[in-house]
Amino acid sequence: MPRLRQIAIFTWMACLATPLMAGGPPPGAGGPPSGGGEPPMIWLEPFSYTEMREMRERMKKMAAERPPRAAARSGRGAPNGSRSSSGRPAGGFRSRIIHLRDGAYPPAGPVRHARRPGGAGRPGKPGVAARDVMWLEKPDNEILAIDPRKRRNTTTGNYKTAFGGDYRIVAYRDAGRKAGRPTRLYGYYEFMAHGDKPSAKQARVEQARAGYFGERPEFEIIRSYDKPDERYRSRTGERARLSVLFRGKPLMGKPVTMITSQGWKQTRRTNDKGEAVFTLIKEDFPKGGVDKRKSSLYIARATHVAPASDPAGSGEVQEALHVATMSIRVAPSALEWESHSTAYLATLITLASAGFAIAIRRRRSKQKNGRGRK
Amino acid sequence: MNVQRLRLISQFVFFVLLTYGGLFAIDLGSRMPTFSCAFVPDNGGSCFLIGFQHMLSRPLPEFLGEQGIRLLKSLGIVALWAVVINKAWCGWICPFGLMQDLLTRLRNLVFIDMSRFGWVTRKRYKSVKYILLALLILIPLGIGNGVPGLSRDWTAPFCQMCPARPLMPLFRGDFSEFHIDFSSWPGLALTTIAVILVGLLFTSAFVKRRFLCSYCPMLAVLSLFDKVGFLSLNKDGQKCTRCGNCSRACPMEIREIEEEKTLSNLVTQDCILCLKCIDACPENQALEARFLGMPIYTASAEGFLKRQNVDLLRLKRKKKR
Repeated sequence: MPRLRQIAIFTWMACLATPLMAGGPPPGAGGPPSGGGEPPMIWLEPFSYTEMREMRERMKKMAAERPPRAAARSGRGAPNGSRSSSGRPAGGFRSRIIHLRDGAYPPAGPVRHARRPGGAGRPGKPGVAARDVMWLEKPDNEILAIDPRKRRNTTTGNYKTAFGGDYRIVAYRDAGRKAGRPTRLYGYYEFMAHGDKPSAKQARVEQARAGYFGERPEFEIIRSYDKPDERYRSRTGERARLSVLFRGKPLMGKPVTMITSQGWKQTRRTNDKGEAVFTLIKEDFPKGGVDKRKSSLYIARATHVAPASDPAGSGEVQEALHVATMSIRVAPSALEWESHSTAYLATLITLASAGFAIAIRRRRSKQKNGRGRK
Repeated sequence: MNVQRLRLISQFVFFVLLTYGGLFAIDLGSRMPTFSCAFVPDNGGSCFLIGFQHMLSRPLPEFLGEQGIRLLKSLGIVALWAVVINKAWCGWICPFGLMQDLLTRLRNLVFIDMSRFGWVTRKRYKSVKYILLALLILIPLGIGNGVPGLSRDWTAPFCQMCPARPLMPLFRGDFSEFHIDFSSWPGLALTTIAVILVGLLFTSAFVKRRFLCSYCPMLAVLSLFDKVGFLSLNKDGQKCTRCGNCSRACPMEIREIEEEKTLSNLVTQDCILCLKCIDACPENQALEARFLGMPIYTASAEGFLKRQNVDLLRLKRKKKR
């Protein structure tokens, strides 16, 4: 039997290694539906409240079914994200747990919690190597390393949101060599931290813009571009047109607030097209002087309350508070360090002084020549 | 046809091509040995010095690989251009040279006398262009190889101080390059030099002809191909009477053209092949421009008199007005 178990684990690992080597999931492996021909990647996600609730219920159920010792062990491993004891999400800033997993994004199935490899009828997930690296990019551009801890079969890290703004978590994992080159897999997770407390009848829906491979959220802010190169760089003084969409349709009269880590704040309402237009003003760039490469994060945020039903069926929740954020990296524009008026002045001074010098010199030489003739 | 008029037309055509060519999908490349500034938006071709400086800002071992091949390719194209038409790049094509020539014409119109440097002064400043050329090679190399004190703010040092950068984009209505950069002290120093040179260009044009060309590192690059260029300026020492018309007509004030009797190819380091010396020469076949050994323009007494008469008539008309 142990030999059979070894063979099963080896077969499972070989199945999992195939997409990593070949650049896609194995045919017929029953991988995630949208992750079809995508390259292998890792993803980051926090446990959502619904997931946590479901997980807790499942664990309770499993604990009830299992013998007492096993139940105690599984209860110890339950995630402890911030959640009020009544089952409603808590407001304010807090610590949360981020999980790093691998495979194609998004994962299959509605429940996104880690699974143990093997098991009855489960494909399972592989264990995570200890080389995973995680860090948190804060709204004030500070970067904090997250200490990755291997937690069951995923890597887990704790982070704390001390103030409101757009946070980004980045993680990478060295995936060995691929076609002779060292390969590194990256995962991103962006989210907004805020202190809004939803009412007793609301559930908060935080949907992260999970990079370019994420699912489209229900409520989102999208930037429209006037010029093609705005997509690649934004500079102070430029305009940003932001559209607020709920289930793909623009929302009119919705306030959108743009904040920066330095404290600049501006609120605009969306027009008939669902667009709010901001002018990216000069940010007070830290450390003095001008660093042409230094960019600052401008965060746009909008909220929307929509009717919703509690997925757990408790009937407590009737509305969902949707929070959408979008960040724009804004670099200082050339106008911050270039002076045109000084240049014009310098040219004029040169013209005048050189002109005078030449005129005086010529006058003198003429006088000299005149004297010589006399 | 008057050769100087032909030269002016050529300068205008290339000015339009190089400054506005991009609007008509014309691209003559970015490896041209002429001051067609790369900062001009949608230019039809640009100076090779900016790319050259960026290419040199790399660690030395990289030159043994792909970077070295890229650099050699770039230099090869410049060499080819230089060999084919030699210094005519300066006299017949350079848009920055056209500006100086037009300012000289303006000076003639308002009857301001021209000045000349003394021979000693000229000799002293002759090496400036070679010093600039050496700096524009050594500074980028220093940046790429981590020489202390050379930060990325020194990148493309010559382009930062070149007067063509603030001036040439103005013809496209772009004033963004006419600035002083306060982000770092190298930027501040170099961009200040650039605007001062713009001021000097306008002032000096009313005193001297082609003032800035004497210090141009592009002329130093092109002078490497003086003797191998297909286009050459030849002199027959037996026929020359040393009247001095040629050196007086020369906008670069080259004395060798009058004094040299033994050398046949007279394309010296400062010569821009404008052919004004041939225009001013009254001796039959004393001076001759040749392309691949074939004479294309020769000095003649008849032509000289014709041009003199035309000039005298013009002068009389102006004085009457």
